[in-house]
Amino acid sequence: MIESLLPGKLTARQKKEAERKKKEALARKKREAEAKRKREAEARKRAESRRRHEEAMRRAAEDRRKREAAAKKRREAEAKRRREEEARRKAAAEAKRRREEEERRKREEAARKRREEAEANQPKPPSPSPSPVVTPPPVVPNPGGSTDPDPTPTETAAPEPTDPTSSPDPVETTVPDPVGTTDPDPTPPDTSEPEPTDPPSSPDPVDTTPPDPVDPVEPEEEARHRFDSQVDFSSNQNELENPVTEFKQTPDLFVDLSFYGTDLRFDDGAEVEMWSFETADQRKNFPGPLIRPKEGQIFQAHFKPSKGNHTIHWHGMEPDPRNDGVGHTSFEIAGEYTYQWQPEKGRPGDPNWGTAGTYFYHCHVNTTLHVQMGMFGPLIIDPIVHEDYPVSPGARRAFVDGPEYDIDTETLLVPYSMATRWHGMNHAAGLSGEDAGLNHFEPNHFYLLGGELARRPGGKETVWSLKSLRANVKGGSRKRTLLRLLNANYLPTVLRFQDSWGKPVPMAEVIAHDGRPFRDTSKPGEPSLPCGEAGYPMKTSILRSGSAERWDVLLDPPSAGEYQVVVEFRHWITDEIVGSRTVRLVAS
Amino acid sequence: MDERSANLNNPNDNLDEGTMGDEATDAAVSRWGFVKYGAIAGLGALALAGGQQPAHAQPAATPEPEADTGTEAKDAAGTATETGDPSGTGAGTGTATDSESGSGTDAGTETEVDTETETETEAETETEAETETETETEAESESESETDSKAARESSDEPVLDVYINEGYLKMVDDSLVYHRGFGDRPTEKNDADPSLAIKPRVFLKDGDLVASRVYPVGAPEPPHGTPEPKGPDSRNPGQYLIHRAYWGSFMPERVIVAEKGSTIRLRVHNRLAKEHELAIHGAGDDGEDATTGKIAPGENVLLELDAPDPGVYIYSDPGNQPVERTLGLYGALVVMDSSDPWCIAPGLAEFERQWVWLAHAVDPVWANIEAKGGTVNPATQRAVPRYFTLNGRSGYESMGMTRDEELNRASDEETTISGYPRQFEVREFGEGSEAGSLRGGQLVRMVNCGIVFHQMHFHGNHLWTVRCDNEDWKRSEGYVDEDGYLCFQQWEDVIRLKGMEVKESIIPIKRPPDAIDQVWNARNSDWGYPMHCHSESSQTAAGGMYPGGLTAHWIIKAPFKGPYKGAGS
Repeated sequence: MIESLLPGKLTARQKKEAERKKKEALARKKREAEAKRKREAEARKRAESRRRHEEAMRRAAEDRRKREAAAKKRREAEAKRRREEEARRKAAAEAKRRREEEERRKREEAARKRREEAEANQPKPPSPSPSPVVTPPPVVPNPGGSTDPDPTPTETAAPEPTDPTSSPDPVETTVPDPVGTTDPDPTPPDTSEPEPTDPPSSPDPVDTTPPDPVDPVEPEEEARHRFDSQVDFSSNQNELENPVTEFKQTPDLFVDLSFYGTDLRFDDGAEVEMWSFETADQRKNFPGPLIRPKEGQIFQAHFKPSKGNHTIHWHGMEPDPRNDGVGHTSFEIAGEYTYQWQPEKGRPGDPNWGTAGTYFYHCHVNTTLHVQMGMFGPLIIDPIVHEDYPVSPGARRAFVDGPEYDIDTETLLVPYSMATRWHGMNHAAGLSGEDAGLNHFEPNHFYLLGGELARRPGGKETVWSLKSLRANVKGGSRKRTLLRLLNANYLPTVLRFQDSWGKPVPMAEVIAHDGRPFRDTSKPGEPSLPCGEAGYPMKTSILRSGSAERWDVLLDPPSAGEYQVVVEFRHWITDEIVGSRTVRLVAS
Repeated sequence: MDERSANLNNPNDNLDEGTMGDEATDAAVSRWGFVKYGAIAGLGALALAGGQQPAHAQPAATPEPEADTGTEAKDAAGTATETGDPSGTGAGTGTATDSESGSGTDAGTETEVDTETETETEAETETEAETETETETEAESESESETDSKAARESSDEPVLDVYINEGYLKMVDDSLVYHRGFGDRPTEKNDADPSLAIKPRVFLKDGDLVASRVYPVGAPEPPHGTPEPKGPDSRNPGQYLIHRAYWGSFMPERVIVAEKGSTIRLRVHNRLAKEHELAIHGAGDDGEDATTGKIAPGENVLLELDAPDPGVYIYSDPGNQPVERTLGLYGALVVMDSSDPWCIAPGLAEFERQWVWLAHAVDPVWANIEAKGGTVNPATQRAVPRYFTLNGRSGYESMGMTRDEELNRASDEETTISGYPRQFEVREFGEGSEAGSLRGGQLVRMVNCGIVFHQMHFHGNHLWTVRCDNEDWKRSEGYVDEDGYLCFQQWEDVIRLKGMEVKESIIPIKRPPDAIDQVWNARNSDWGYPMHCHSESSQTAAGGMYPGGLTAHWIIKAPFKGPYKGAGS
């Protein structure tokens, strides 16, 4: 046996033992191998399952992405469809408006002809000379209407209120104004019945246009549109090519405004790209031309923007939404439009009526940028002249029964701060959701624009800067000086009146705010007198105001001499002074 | 689809009906749509009584989204919402409200709400482990809230409003998520998809009850879509309307607590955050001091108890690290009314048809990020640059109710979009009109700037008559300019200054826009909508652009009324 040849002597038992060990080792090995295999298999399985799981996840994610992409596509398609539908609807509504307006005009024209014929056939009564302003409109052309060959009314055709004291306004002379009525509940002029109280109808009941029962316009759907997102809303403002002016009248004052953009030089030497409004006689000046209608006048402004869409919002004037100049409550103008409104007439002693005062107009498209770019100009409404409140030569009233002021020294003060970083952006900056930084206004230039309204420099491409002020000292025949503060700034400001040594001088009597006079309204049923007249003129040396506020201030320097007017520009969070300008005020 | 808002307006109805259509809420006279609860009422009522979701949280994507489980359901629900499938959303709403009424605030409810409102899940990256922790913390918070309210119940017979200082993420108008802190009315975690960062309107009644009601006076008819309907035509002024006097209720926005004069306000403020916090009601204490909890340590709570101050509007905020904590969202307003004449600012002061409370705020995500990571903002060195500007928690097209989310639009209509029928307005007298039970006045707009920027609230279409500033009544005679240069006098304004922490109260006449020509006014057959916006123009942006995406609203002169006239007899 081989075993016997082996060295050493192994007993059978030992042999057996060895055998067993060997077997065990083998078995162990086998087991281990098995276990390893199992482990590996499990690991493989796990890995596989993980892989599968991941794959599933990936697939799920992929599916989700696909679904989302599809959903997004659907949404976008839906949004596009909705937008197109909306555009179609709007275009149709506008076309309908245009048709109605045309029909209205034709009817009015026919009525006018009939009336004229009737009048011609009648023995003419000795009529008072001034013909009513609201004569049945001799077909005011619609500049937007392509079919209309008539020329647009020019500025010269309209009576300019340049000298309202000498030329009594035909509106107020022909229309019996319910002024000074003791009726505590005066009927507003919007009676829907053709009663003689309706101002435009007063001369001739036949030409009553207002209640238009002939063509009841279909009730429109709610003036609300819906958008998918803020970007959708911002980048899809209601845009119309040539919207129609509803019930277009013969204007008493007509202006033709257009857009300009140019580099302008400011009084501190800065040369900056500016956008604003211009007219034929005020070319590329900043701020935009002064517009100055009188209460009761039909005002129209034709506007043909360029360089993208714009609007004109007549800040503080309150017409219907179509004439309010806001894209999302009416439309933005892509082509051209004629705005129309009629400032409400004041009534002495009545705090519910009247618009005379200081305003401004500005673009309301991407306003944050466009107004900073300079798209604004002053708007002043002069009061009607009421028989109980006559006006002295060389003077005007701030409002119907308000104090008189000196026309010669009437001054406009417009604080305006500028962040040059914003100048040079695209007109639609930020509208598509990009961060244009328009939330962060950091002005690096501070200006006082304006000056004496009677002496705005002509010429082209000039910035109207306030260099100094004149103010009348009480006494003599001259009335007090009126300072009209128009805050075109985005920051809060503080206006100070002081002497040359910086000591406050309470020479400012604040008489109106935002185009409305301060009146004593404490006694219902009695006339509400202007505060000065009621015995407590509100005098101050310091006046706070914020963006877009207007303040009418009568100046009352205590004696002749030099004073200072300081405007501080404050931070909109911390109220720190970030800039300041001082001008001389000479009292004589 | 206004099921949820409808339900929450009329929680009682909600018990028998899972969903409700518009017509239910359109009913002018609500069936006392509120729940009273005092010591005995449990959490269920509390949760049930909640008002609407914060606008920004509605279609919110979860800041840290859920695990994979449920995404399918989410997607399905999302799609249903998107395509406007009423059954899908209706079902979701039903489930959500059911579980809410059953078990109060719990994780399940949250998930449901989330599922239902979520339209797009942005990322699915969360691991399972995180989900577990989340569930755990939510379970904790659940038990915590229960213990808290049990303690509250046991400690006192008087009703207490539990206020939780929470943190979380809110969706801004451009869909970005910004970290916020807020005074909520249920405990929620930072990663909650619908964190409670605003108290739903509550009313402390004079008789001692605490009521969850979006409408004040409690039980007054809800103006349909926020618009008070007229009493009848004004025969003396054709085209205009007689206005109901002392009739319509007013919807309050989130973050408003109403207290009637004579009531005791009890707030138990729980600080659930890692740093100390405080709730101070500014000027509401004795002698015009702040009424405050003082600093509340993390995990602690403090009971603030005070008698309702004089009628007026009081901002509450966390005055810590001025103005950082407030800017992070810890703000709101207490409105005190005199229940003997709840349609006046106070007896003898301006009367109104309904009132609107507008809370303005400005959000700075840079500040928010610093604090979210556990840092502390130094407002002197890290200057605030607000990037979002909100009115009642909403901005831009959301605030104007021009979204495709009708629930959100409705909330804007009811709480923000001033609307009414034209009337002959007399500024010298807001009281009795030409006919008994009718009003000559307009609506009261209470502008409350809880934020940090200097707002200039500009209204198109009508000037407003400002009557009050910081609870000081402006006079009708003998006005003056104060030493800081602010003029104090009742006056017409088209731009109303509103500095940080200032409260202005004005009457909007809702009258014929004075400068529209007669023919246009007479032919009017649709709503005339006008913007209200801040004229500090930087506040008109969102994320640096997107005009008009900031602090803005609409207000509407309604089209000629088609009737029928309601409540004429009352």
